[in-house]
Amino acid sequence: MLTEQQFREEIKVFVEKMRENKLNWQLKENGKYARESHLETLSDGRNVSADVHILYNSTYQVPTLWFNYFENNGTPIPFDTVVRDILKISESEESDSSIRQRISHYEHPILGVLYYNIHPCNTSNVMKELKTEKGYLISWLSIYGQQINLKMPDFSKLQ
Amino acid sequence: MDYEVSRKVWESQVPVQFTLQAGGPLGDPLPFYTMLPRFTYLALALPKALSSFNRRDSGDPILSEKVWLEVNGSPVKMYVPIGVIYDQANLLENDAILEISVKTTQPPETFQMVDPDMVKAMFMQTVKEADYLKTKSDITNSMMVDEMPQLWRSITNNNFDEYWTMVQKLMDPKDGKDFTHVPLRVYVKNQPFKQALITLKHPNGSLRTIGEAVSDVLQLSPSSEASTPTSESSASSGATTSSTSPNSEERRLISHGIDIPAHTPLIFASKNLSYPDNFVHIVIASN
Repeated sequence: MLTEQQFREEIKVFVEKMRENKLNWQLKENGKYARESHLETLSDGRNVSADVHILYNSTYQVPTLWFNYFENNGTPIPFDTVVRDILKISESEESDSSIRQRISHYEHPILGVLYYNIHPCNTSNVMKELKTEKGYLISWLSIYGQQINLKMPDFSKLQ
Repeated sequence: MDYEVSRKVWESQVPVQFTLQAGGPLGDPLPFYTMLPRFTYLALALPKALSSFNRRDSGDPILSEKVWLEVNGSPVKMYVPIGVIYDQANLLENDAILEISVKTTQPPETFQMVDPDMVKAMFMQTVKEADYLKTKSDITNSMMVDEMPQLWRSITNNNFDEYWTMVQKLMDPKDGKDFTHVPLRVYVKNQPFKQALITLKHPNGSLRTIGEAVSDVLQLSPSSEASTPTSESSASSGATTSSTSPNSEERRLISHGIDIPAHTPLIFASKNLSYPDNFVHIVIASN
């Protein structure tokens, strides 16, 4: 569990640490959320842009990962392409409906448009099992960031 | 829960007109008129409108995954209950028709097309979130795998009896415990919905009213904070300047097409006036 105040403090430190590690995170909207963008390559070789946000979820009182992928003209990439090419979840591993129970579109609380989010309903249980001495958000992202193949710093070297 | 109130809420409908500007040699098809339950979603109602347009013989049929919808010149959220969209469109005074244009053109940049599967997934996430607020997920965790889909089915089949069976489980916990927080979303013009942790009672034990709860949400919601929307944050949402919300005396609280008295106990609203997603949806209007 993280209070909104704690989140605001943590997210500042988090963004600084990421930038020290040459990862392009930025604070947005007076520190309400952090944003990162990068390119992803689809299986047909096309590049699409990924937009990743970390927001505070007041219901579950945990951080939540919001993300979406866009073509050059701004069209969002369809769900099945995202699952297959970017999240790289194979059909044999998981059915479509079970993925949708973990990851689905939801209205972005600040932008007011649909983004994907990793459902935060189990986050606080997961976080109970984790050591957080390097910072709550760093530990949290080490679990949730890899679910969307987010580029992460070398955690063993992080101060 | 009150059976009569819940049934009335379930049975309320809104008049909707779908129009299609297709161009083409035959001109535009006739508009499609229908009455839609307030609890349903445009993503579910769209196929019927399209099959009416497709009935005439003028080339390729229009497919639901290729179209998007517009109300008053802005893209409309096909995953928000139709009753909420109607209440936001400012039509209540004369029971006017909600006019929806079906667009086959390229949607605005970053606009996400919505299909019924997506709406179902979002609905499930919303019901779970509501239960987390109410009971820390006690009820949904103890439900059988097929119970939540049953709630969704009651919407797609317009089946009140099935809905009533399910919603009582979600709204009247067997252990009789009070809700921890109340699922409430508040809509201010041209802004994303607002939500915050709102308890049922004041610290002194007296019941919180819906008017007080709305004031609290408007104050506490992260999207309310004196924010300066950047060009990016208003991407495709059509959001413009942060319109100041009317103060509590001038404020009208609209849900299901009626003015909800501000002194209504929040718990009554939650149990009886929630949409099937288990949230109370209040649209703010000014006098």
